[in-house]
Amino acid sequence: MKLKYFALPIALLLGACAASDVPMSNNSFNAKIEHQGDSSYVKVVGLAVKNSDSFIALQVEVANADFKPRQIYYRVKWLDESGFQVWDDEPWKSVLIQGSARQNLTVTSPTPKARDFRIQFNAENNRPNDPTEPGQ
Amino acid sequence: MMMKTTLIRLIAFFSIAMTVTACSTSSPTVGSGSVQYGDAKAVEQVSNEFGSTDLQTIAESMARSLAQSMANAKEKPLVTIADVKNKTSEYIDTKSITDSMRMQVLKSGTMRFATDIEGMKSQTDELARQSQTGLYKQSSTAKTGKMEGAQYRIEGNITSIVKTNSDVKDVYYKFSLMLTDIESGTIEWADEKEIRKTSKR
Repeated sequence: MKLKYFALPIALLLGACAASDVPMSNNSFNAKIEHQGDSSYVKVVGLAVKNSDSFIALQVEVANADFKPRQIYYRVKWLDESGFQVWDDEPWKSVLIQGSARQNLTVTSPTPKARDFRIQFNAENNRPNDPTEPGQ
Repeated sequence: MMMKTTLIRLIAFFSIAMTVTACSTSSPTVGSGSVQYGDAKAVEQVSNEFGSTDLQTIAESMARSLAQSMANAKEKPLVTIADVKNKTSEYIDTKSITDSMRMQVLKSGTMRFATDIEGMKSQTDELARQSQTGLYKQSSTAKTGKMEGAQYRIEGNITSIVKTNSDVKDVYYKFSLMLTDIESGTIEWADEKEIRKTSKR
């Protein structure tokens, strides 16, 4: 009988857990990121994942260790529970990260079918002594 | 002995040559190869006019925001797309942006779309052809008076601010969209996407 007094708080707690931000540890978020080329300046330093309203929301934190603004490119591959891609390739997004700054990139899954993801991260032109970079 | 070694070398050479020839394959292409297919999703930085990357990112951003806003709806709302005005100084095909957006929202399964004003003529023509010409079986014809009216209307605009000096050209685009409840006239959702493009002159 007394169980009914606990049912509501437990349900609320579970609901809150399902919809809350889940920051991932370095090891687990590195497995979610496909680096295309090395980057000495801009690095992914954090990743939070939120499941709400059947969609996955990601917050990727990047940090620019250089004092100059640096360009990065990224997109997300959305996968189902079996690892099959459930959405077409996204367009690459180009983002300018200001010098010595941290910035959050937020992305929402395009379909409720998405259960997993891989972030493709390209900061190829951020290598030191890059021959393509002006002034090097 | 020397003849034998030369013969073995010759056989080895021809064997390798034949293997290499047999393994090499030609690409299934026609033409001299001066034309190349590129990555349609790559970031286009040819000029700072409105480009494919801008169209793709605006459509994607708006579609996801819209889909998420209706994720909790009990029934998939029926929506129609009205005009998206181009208030910039350059030619931008806003229909192409809304077409991409509609495709993505439909694929997400969160909304249904009613025929828009542009598609209405072909819709009514087909309906009239089926129901009024007497050429079709009664059981398979689409009946008139069954079209569904949209609950919501999507409309918006794209604006730009262009600044130039002797060194730099800076273009700022703002794409705004809103969803209006047709019956009540209330705006139920709105979002915008900003893009800045700077180039050296």
